[in-house]
Amino acid sequence: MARPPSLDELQRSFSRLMRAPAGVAAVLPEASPAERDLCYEWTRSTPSLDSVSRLEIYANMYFYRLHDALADDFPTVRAVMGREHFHNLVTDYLLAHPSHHFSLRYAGNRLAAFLRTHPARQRWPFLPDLARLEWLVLEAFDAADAGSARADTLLAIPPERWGAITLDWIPALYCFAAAWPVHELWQSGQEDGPLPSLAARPCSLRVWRREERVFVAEIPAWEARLLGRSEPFAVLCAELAEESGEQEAAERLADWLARCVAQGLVRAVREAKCE
Amino acid sequence: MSGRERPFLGFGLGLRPRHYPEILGVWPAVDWFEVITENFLVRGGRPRWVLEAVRSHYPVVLHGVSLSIGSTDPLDFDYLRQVRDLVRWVEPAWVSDHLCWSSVDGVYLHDLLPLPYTEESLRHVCQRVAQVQDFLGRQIALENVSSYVAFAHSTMSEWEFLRAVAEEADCKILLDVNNVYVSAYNHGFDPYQYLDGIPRERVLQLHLAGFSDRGTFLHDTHDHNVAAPVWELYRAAVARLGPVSVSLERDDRIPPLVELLLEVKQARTLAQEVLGGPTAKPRRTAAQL
Repeated sequence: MARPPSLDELQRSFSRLMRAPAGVAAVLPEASPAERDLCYEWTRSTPSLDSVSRLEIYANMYFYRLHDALADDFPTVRAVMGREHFHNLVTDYLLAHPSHHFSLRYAGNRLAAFLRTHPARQRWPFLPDLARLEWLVLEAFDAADAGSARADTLLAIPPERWGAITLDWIPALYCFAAAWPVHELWQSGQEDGPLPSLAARPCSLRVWRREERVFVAEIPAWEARLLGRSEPFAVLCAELAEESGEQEAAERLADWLARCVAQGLVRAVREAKCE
Repeated sequence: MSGRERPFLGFGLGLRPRHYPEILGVWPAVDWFEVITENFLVRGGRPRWVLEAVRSHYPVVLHGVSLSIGSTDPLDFDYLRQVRDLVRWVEPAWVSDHLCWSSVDGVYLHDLLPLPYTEESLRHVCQRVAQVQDFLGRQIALENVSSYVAFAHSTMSEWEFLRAVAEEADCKILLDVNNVYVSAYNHGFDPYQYLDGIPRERVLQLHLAGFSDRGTFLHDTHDHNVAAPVWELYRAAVARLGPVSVSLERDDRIPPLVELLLEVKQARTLAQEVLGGPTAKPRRTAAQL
């Protein structure tokens, strides 16, 4: 009989066996001596349940716990792909990116990037964008809390001093450039409606939380460029004026700022002091 | 909390998102709530608002699943710092996790995996419990896990190991009655012998839950009502331990709150029958604990 494994050896062998994508029985012929010893020598069998079957219970639980967590976190990705393809995606993903965070909440943090090179993209080219959107929805859901600036804060600042305004944005605000209008899929999924077919179209998507609800909206590209920026308003205005002229830029920005405040995207409006 | 002190919170329930609207709407008659620590290690949003509301109405206990006290990886002090911050905010009656390992080589397996019951494991776990208790500035309670694997080189029984950890590391025990039953069935030991081997003064809390019968083994799925033999074992546990805080866990196929409250009521009734008197506690706020 081999010597008993140290605690460290046992845990490493156990971990590799339970993460084998095709299951314990399938991996054992190619397993290391330490892994085979763990299974056949050091894991007790009983007449009703042998050691392989016992380890298989953990292998199944490992896969399905992570599968189910990812299905909860990426419901639209799963709905688009269907049960079988999503199952295969999770198998591939866990092989490439086992969880390195103590919370299941972060198990899917690399799924969007992983999908960029996964074969599933050939059939569903918008999957990386869709996974990115669903990840940002999660991020917004439990982002840090923050109060919102009130509309009368803006009104109290005379227009001639708006150039010195800077904005603090709420933490639960994200923006990303998508190559596909994946928010249409996401919205249909939220409403349990049929999933629309998509045509490629670059778009800017904003994700934010207000109180307990997370919202997704398509916004113009110029708004996406300014969202989250903390330079003085005059700088943003000058940048926008390069494409639309000073007067129009000022009007568009004033309207945009009022909307951002009304939608609760701005935590505070600050007025830089003049020297 | 230290030494032989054992606060009695009464009969509680695991707080689960499905029940948030009902709980926040009617403040049901349950003595306390047990919350999953990791669900609230978030930066903000609804989970923390809900917990703030719940803790202002009920005593709360933090129950973690990621401590991985038996892992040979270094303790995750980033995780522990977050737990410590949560403890300072929530002011729970106590903090618990599991006597198991969940990660190795930096990979989290998100499961409660059994240890070999050896002197090596005992030394390793006790040393880490001491580190965790020092870091958190309080005792913790460790829960026995249900298991499907036992190791041939174990030199002691599970209950001997649990007892040794609790006494040598000076921590408390969260005794999961369902897990005792499930593991007893899966490994062929006597669950009543297990109860006899647990040091009474170390047990801070009991868990009740349901399992699934897979034919060749019992699966600790937490997706069924408490089974009749687990209720019987619970009666025996109460008879041995005296008044002890109890909570019901349900993690899957979660029924309406009212159904779980019936099981909490049954736990209370059985305890009263066994102990021969009322065991109900007046509701207290967390600040009064």
